[in-house]
Amino acid sequence: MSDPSDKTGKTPEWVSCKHSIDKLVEYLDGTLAPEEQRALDRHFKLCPPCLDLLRKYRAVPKLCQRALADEVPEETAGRLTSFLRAKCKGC
Amino acid sequence: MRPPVNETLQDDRTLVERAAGRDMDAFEQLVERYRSKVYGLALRMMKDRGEAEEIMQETFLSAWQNLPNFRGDSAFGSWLYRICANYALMRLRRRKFEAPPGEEPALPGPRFDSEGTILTLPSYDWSRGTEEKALDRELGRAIEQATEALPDDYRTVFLLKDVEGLSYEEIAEVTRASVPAIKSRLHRARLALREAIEAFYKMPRARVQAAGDGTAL
Repeated sequence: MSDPSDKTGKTPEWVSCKHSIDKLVEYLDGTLAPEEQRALDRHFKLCPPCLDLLRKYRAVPKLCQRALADEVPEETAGRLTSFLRAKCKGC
Repeated sequence: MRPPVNETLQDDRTLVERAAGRDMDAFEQLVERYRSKVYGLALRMMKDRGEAEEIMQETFLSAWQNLPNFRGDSAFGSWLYRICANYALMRLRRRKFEAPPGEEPALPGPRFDSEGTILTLPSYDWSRGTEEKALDRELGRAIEQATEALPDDYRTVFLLKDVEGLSYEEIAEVTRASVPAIKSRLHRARLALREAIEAFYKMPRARVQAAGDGTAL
């Protein structure tokens, strides 16, 4: 990941798309330095392709939680109960 | 309907205390509450129903044995998921040892030009209403396949963080990876899954459905 800081150590007004996307985890966690957070805010406001990517990236966890929610099959659950009743006795 | 999170935690605490005192009825209530989540995590990590069942059994047996030492620093659910992930990771490491690792596949993600400008144009916005609308079964299948296609290390981090809600520190403890490495894997996994969902919506069938009554994602 590239560091956008210029020679003065400050985040420039404009950061690249790649830099903005590379920093998405920290951006969404709110753990970037305030100046860099603001630079990314500006970038997403002015760059429709990156804003599109940000919206979809943010939606991925919720969608996946729903798609990957499993119910344990009844037979498997029954075997678990028998297993635990046999093994947990006296331990 | 699920009880609110605070209510669940409170209720968990009472059951955990009773189970730690060797009350099997209380433990069975906890098992019933968490078995689907534990089974799901094991299944997604291992991609094998038989192994997922064994891991689920090992997890709950270990939980029963270690409950008297459970200090309640974290939620009971997080503690269980960490036990489950540990058992699954031990098996995944054994698999890797048995079959020498090949080249790790490159994960799909956005492309940039030499100046770092994104080359992908905005497209149909499927991110709206992801929590309210019914999930299309085909989309669910596409997400399952894309998750299974992730390399083990990336899939594990994604499942533990974005599906089970563990903290970076908890994941670091289980996976023995550094927090920066975990964040990097999480980022690449999310990008790859975003690409898979995007590809799903670029199929003509999905576009027609999305433009229809708008009730399904």
